[in-house]
Amino acid sequence: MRGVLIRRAVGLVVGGVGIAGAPATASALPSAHGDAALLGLALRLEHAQAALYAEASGAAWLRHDLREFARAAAHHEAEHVAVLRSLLGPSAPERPRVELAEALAGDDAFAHVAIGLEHLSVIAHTGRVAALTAAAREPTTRIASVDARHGAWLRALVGMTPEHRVVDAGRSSSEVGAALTALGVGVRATA
Amino acid sequence: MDAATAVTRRGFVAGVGAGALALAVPARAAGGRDAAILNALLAIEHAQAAFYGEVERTGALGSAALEAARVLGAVERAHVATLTAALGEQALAPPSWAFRNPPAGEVDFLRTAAALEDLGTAIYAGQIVRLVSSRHLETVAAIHTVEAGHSAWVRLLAGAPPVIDALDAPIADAEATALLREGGLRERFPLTAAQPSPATPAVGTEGEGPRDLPWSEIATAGALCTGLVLGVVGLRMHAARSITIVGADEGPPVSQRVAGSAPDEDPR
Repeated sequence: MRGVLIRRAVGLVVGGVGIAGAPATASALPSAHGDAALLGLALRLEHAQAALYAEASGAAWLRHDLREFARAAAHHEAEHVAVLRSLLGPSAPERPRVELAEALAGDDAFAHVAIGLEHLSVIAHTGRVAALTAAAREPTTRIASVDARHGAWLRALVGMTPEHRVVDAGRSSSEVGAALTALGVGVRATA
Repeated sequence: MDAATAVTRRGFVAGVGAGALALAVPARAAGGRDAAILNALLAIEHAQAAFYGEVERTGALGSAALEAARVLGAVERAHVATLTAALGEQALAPPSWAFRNPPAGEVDFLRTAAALEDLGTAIYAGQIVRLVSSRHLETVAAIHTVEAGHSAWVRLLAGAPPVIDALDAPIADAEATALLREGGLRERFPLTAAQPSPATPAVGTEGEGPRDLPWSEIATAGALCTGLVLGVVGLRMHAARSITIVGADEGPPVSQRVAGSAPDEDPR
């Protein structure tokens, strides 16, 4: 029952954004502008994940296996944040304020938001990969597959296997931003 | 390749198998570097599809592992169809595969499957940086993360950490070729994490954790393209089997997007 509930909830956000329908990506030649666009979005998503997992790691109410996931993933996301900030250099924004709202309301809510955030990282990267220079493409590709692992891990924990998707079709930055809002997660600039 | 076009290659014909891990192909051969890269990825997908197909036929697996073999086999066949469509006439014919030692039980299957998926993830990561065509990049990136998800799922089934490290490491062309040609796949991609991580509860296993088992190495047949590619790994084989690669019934987004269009020329 837990899996069914979460499946339905995630479908509203992830299914509608990342799986159903034709990919809506804006192909562009690699450029510094392309790098900045994706890196900024990726950094927002990684900050959101890092904040969620930092909270969840210490949440005694959270189901044990989800908490164990959060502890492991928090380390990964912190490194993702560091890598992205390094790529952005001096133009990297200040650490944003992350509003998690309902994400910590319970086990199902946590899994729902976490699965959504991981999937958004994946499809944001796929959607913008062609606009990235090689220097940005290499590390962000290596980050995207780890976020895909996180997603699969979470889905296994809440009974959403098997992993039957054929592709993680890319989505545009604006679609990803809208889906982030729909997840109820706010990432606000502090500078 | 559409669903009606079933390609069947019969048996094991050493040195004549047509598939190729084309990583060693010069940039100008066969329509440019992108085509060579896509063919290299296609070879990996063929290997994965053949492996799961073999396991479905011969493996004595528990229900969770059997479901994984079936689902992953279907997805890898869809990846074969997607990459074949993207390559058009430049797609290399499917290779023949022979398995020196089919997986000896569930744990053995999971170990090899995880190593194959980790290899796939690493090869895709290495080649995404080299691709030029935007369309190919989006196609390949959309498959790359699916391979990573497969690895995580299989690793969980084996009771192993689903994430290796904070960043997945790409694999160099030469090393990937050598692993398939000479073996060492499961040693190169063990069921461990790069650093200590919390113990991960097994999902759907039969209570048997990962352990050292005899190799069930994938033997590859033939495979010569321009240079040395997939060599003959295992000459001792159990039986010559035909492998049928059929068009996939899944994956319409990318398949439809790339179907019927010729691969981009390398602009350089």
